[in-house]
Amino acid sequence: MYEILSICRLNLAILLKDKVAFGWTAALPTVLLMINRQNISSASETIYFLIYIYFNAFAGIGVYVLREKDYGTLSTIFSIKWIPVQYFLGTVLTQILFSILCAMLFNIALVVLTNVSLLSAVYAGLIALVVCLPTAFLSYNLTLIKGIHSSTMTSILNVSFFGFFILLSSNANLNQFNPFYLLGTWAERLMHFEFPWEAAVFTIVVVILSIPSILFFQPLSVERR
Amino acid sequence: MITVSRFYIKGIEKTVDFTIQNGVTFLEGDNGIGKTLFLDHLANLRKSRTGVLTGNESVVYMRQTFDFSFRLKVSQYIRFITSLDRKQVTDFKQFLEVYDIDLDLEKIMNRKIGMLSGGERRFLYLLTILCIEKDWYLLDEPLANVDRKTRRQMMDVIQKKREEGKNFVITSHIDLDLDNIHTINFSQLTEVEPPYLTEAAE
Repeated sequence: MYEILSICRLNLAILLKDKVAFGWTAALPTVLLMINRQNISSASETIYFLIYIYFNAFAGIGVYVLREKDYGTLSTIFSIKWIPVQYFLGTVLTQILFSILCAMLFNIALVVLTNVSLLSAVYAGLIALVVCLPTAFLSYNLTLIKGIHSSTMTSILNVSFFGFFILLSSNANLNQFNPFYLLGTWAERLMHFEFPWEAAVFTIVVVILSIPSILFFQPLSVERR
Repeated sequence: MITVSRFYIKGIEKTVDFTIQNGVTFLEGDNGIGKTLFLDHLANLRKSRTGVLTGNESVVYMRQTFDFSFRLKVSQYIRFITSLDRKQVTDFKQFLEVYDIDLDLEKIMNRKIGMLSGGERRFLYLLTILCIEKDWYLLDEPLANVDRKTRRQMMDVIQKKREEGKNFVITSHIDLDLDNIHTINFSQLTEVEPPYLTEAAE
């Protein structure tokens, strides 16, 4: 637990230095909310915005770790103490806190701009967090791919996430392959007290399949010794 | 004692077999001979599929380059590293006092790591590593880019740690100013056959 909190504190310090990531995660859905505020009457209608916030944070974990690996920070940490599980949990905890902060800012804007109550907004946020959490495990598998560079992955994921988010506003058939749409559907069902069994199965499978990426984590950079 | 038994080092494609005695061991050899790769293995940062390493269960490793988030402050770095050993910044300050180290910590605490000079960074890195309690300290080029006064202080701390029964494996291209050290010339290590070749022959 001690190491998890240390990793979390360090990651938060690093993350909060990067104001652009913070702005990108919190500001984009807030701006879109401002544009669409007339069409929003309940918290469940904002679930896709919240999914964007949490998905961005959790699915970005793999890239964040790759970046720290390329910088060499991880080789410094792991040469002092070999803590692969604690490192993963600390990083997930960081992203949970970071995304809650972003979601809180979004919810404040939601309450101010619409008639949605703060309580229902927080409830929707919690549901979105739970539904998106498996993506943290999934994205950590990126660290298993040999020869992959963080800068390349950052560009690919940023473009993909933005594309997925924009695709949501259309009725295109492509949405059935859109992770935001899928997670949003599960979250909506949960909000209406209907348990999405396929989401539970997906979570279990993803967590089990991601265990090797956590246990056999390699902290050395592929770019330099 | 660390035993390296028919151990294959990937990158230099060499299988070696030797022991590292307790005390201070100076690992010498030309650039690119594989000293850093070997230290990476000793610190368990790299895994070898063949061979056995024993005695390296309690190690801490100072790498050749100090890579960290340079936008962080020195205080944040010290807090993080000491916390990995369940210590606090006050323990680090106490360490500086006990070992009589001349470092104006208050002056650099609020500076960003990236704003320190190369030598200051290296000294800070070494001190935070030596503050961690382990049996073995692996130091890869600790004296590089360091002025004479700081180098003297580094050697004094290492000497005091040695008197406490701690062990060191040090690589350096600058002579270590220490008595009674073991020297292993990495370029002259005898290559042995990998285990699988011997097993096949048997």
